[in-house]
Amino acid sequence: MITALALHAKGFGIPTTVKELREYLQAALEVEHLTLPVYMTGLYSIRPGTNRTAHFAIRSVLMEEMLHMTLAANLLNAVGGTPRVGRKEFVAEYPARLPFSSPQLPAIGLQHFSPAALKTFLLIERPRKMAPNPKPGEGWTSIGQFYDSIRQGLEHLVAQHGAAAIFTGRPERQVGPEDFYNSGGEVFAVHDLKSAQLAIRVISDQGEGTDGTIWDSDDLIFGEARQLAHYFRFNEIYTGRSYGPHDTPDAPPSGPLLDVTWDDAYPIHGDSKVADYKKYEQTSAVYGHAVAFNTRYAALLSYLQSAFDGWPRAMALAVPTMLELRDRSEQLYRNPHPDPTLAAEGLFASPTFEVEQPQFEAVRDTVDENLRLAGLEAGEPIDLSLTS
Amino acid sequence: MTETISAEGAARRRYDAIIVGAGWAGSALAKRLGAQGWHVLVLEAGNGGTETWPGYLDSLSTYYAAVAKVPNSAYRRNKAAPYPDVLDLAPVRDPEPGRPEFTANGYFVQNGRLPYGTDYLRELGGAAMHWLGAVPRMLPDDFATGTVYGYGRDWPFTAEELQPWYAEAERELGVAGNAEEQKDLGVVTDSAYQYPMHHIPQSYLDERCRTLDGTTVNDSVADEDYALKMYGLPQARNSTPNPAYPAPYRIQGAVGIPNYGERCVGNASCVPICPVQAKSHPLRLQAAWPGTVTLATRCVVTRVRKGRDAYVSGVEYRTYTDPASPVSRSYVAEADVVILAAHAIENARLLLFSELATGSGQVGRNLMDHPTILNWALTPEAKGPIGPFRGPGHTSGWEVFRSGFGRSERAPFRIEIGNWGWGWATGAPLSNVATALGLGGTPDGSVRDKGVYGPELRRLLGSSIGRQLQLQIAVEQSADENNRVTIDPARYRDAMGNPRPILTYDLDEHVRKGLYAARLVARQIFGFLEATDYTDHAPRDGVPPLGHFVHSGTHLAYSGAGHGAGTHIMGDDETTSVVDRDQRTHDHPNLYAVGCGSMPSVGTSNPTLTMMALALRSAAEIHKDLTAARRPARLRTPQHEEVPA
Amino acid sequence: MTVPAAAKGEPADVPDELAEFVRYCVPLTGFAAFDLHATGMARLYLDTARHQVGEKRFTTFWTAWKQAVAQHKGPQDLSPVHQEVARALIYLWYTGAWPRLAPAAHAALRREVANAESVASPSAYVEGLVWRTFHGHPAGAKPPGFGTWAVQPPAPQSVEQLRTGLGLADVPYRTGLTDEVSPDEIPGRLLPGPRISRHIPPSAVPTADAAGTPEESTA
Repeated sequence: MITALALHAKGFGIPTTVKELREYLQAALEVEHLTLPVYMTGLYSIRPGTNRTAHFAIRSVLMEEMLHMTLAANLLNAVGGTPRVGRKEFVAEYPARLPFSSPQLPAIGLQHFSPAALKTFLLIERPRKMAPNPKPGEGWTSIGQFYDSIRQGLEHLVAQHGAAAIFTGRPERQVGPEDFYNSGGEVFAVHDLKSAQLAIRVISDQGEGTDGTIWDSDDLIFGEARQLAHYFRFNEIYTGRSYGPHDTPDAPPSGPLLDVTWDDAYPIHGDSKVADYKKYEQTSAVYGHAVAFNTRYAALLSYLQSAFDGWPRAMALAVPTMLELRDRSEQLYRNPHPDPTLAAEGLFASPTFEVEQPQFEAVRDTVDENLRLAGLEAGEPIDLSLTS
Repeated sequence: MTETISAEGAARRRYDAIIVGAGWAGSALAKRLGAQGWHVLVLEAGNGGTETWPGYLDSLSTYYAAVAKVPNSAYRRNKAAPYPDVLDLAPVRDPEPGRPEFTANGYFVQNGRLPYGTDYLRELGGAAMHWLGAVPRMLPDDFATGTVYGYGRDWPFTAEELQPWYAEAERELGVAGNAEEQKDLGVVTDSAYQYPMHHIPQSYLDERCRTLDGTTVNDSVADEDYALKMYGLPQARNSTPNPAYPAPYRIQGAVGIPNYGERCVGNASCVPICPVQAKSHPLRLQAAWPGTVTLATRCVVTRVRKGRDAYVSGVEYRTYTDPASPVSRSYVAEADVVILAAHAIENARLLLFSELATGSGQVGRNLMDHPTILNWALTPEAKGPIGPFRGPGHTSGWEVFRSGFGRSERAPFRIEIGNWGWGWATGAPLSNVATALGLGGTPDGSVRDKGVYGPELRRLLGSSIGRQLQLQIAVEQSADENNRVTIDPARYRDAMGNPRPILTYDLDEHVRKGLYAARLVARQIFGFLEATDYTDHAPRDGVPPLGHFVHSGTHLAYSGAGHGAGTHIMGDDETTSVVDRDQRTHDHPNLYAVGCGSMPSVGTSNPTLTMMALALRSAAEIHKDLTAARRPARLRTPQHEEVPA
Repeated sequence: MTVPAAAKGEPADVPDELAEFVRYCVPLTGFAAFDLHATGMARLYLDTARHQVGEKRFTTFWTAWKQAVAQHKGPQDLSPVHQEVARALIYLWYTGAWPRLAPAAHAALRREVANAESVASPSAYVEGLVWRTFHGHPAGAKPPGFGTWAVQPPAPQSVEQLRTGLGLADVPYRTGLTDEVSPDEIPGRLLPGPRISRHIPPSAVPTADAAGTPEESTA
């Protein structure tokens, strides 16, 4: 999180050079990624077979955050940058400070499915209009504002130097819908100002809604079904009531009640670290499984690194790894916390998302070998038969 | 978007076309005709609901909770619109020689020598809700078995004539396949053709089987040698888009939830239900119906109404509110064209009850299926597990026994290399747990002594499940007038009062020889793979398995494949066939019977693709009919025309 | 909207009881406590077993099993009826369903519940352990991703590896069999035979005859 936090510390700004623009886009990737462990925790801590509406809502947002990450990578690649995701600096430590938020706001922790978790989700996705206007030099107050400054910077740079001087990335580095799927909207190649502006708009609209409505713009941009923007999708769960077709952002949902059972979740101690689990290594296997989770998370980021680094088909290895993490995280949430005191309080174990250098090193050989052995040529059929 | 109205609402107006049945054929016809501006009413006998995501999840839970996870297990029984289930059949203990070895206790009345072991589903989307998604094209010689091999019925046209419609159907269905392989097989004749999506990856166990490429197998029944060569299976399942496909193809995911199911993720439960809807189904076509198409569910068509001269005027139908107690009301809807697309057996039942298309005496006759013989074995421990119960039901097969002059001697067959272990044959892997534990007792009811537990159980199952290979071999059944659907309203009616289908079914010698040859071939293949053959079709304690018969002194048994066909057979001669090459009944110019019922032969291909090609071809004809009938009084401009790919 | 668990009449999770249940299910199932907890089904399975066997008789069985484990004994030291209960409990963990018992055992338990297989809950099917014995996933759930079915599965662990990994006593985990079953020569009676009709539940499928049983008809 070095890039994003450093930018945040520098305060409000609009990138004025290509180098700065690339820095901002790297920060954008980090911000998008920051939300994934938070949403994964909320999603996979739901008890099996319960809270289906909430399950699918959080899942859809999670998928769209991955879309945003991929679009941010496409933007960065388009302007000749190199996304850096497969390294420890990319991963925040939780609880994490949300870049571009007021210093008064609490840090974002990992929380099981609960009203408190949903409150955090709402904070993350808060639309610009609901956030206080940033004062000069005081930093952003919403992710939308951050993307807006990227857009402005990009537009100025193109006006100044011409598109050809800015969009210098190789087109083969773009990830397209053939490799990224199952998300609202679509991944598309970014190669000029228009596609770049569209990518930024998709990210903003899916999060906070289009033009002061509760809806995203998937229908307008992609010809898909329009959906509630993330903030409002979460607000439905939080309030236990769905929005009606004519509801507006400033009023609570007015539609029918939703079935949300907060008890159907595994309560966790979100600040748990593997170091805490290690203390109980002799009595609980949670430690080993939590380490394994983090190691496999490093594999996910390593595959994504390849996917954003000229091998879009590496997504074919990233997606099964993500699904493996789904299973691994569910297994952890269902195990009692190794600390008997916490277990007695009814708390369960949880993945810690501590992804450090050793985790990346542990998976490097397998990842490299699989990338080498998999059939990942663009446009060709996917073939994982030689991988492990 | 699908507009759904009540039964009463449906009866209030006149339509250009009424389609009976919202399965693949009906949904495709409605989409085409609706897009051309025709007002279409689709009447579905079964329940809707699965087009919503909560409704679909309910089906998924129903499947999870079912003890017997049979093809219909994701759907609830419906008394008002009953349908057959594989659970309806039971074997008879110590059957008398020459008497049937089974009883049928469900929707079908069965009085044949052998059981018709195939089910279907009356539900929005039809049996396609539980289909596998296998879409191989038929071979050129499948269309002329009478002329070329001296058995069965010829089609009134050639495979070549169907090629463009196959391509259309593959676009509508959303097919993933390897075009080069299918060209090599001779079923795709356009050398430039590509499928919309790249082929679905083949399974690890397919690759193990591929080592037999080039191995010669002797078919002693046909007295021919065949060299094995494995081919991938074209499937209506979401894969990666193929950039070489000429027209832009956008992958369609689930219906009822956005952005879901855009790839097969390997749930390995295509039958009965794909949890993500990466497997194509008719609800996708329904979601694309224009506003000119109206759907009414829970509308059971009872009769087609006769009109002036040879024409029909519409349909009578009944509706119900509670599937458990079918108290019904009756309605009439009228249209210029009536299209029956309700499944081969339901179409026949409707024609028989309506006393229509009786000219040839062929309605209900020539009932076909793909009798399927299961073969199961354990591959050698030394070579490690083969990864069963992963991926789609089958991803590859051996095709060489489908064609060639062996067909004159015995029915041809297609060997599916099963990816789901011994599931179909033995109820694995759950039954493996019970038998390894020694659960359930001895035949006299006492507790069994032998069993394994804990680590020994886990180890044993890792091996005894991990090495399961099943070859399911589907044999062609040709048209035989004696295999038929009849009705007897005086004796057999369902709860709503509609006549139940009475089936008379048997396998002729040609088919039996095909099943026998298939069994012998499977034995040899297991031998080549050093696999231990556990296939067993012999009676156990006096109880023969369903579909049991003895051929050349060998116990054999077949299962139904769910491929009901041939009940309103197609031909140019109105004295020997029910529908013409456009699936229009010979006797009634505005009554069509579409679906597998029209097929004069089924070859060794899963029939849905061919059925869809025929349906799309008929849609073009019906459009011409309707246009001609309107000219010049009411000339319509199509809102937008579908452009053939 | 939010109803506390206690108010719904469900017992709040009693960690001790469940922890003990899981602990003694490890030698029965051959899966680690972590894996058993990871199903999220421990409470449901304990309740199901109690309901099916009867509170009192289940306690008798459970006491007998705990005693056997404490004395480094295995399933062979249980009574035949208790062996059948142990099998049923394992079947529940492996498949999510309570099986059909040997009629003699069902009679001895004097239960009013029908002796028929039933799935404990839709989620229980999904959490069955059997799929993990061969590195699979339940049919219809926990999908592993596009194209993963092309990957070679790893070989199963040996009994000794499993036993050591689980910290289990070196005793026979078998009844009626002198030696460990060799994966090269699995007796037919430990394998499923043909399901002669589809309505036969998995737990009532007959065992296989020996491999290569003559298919020739004597008729």
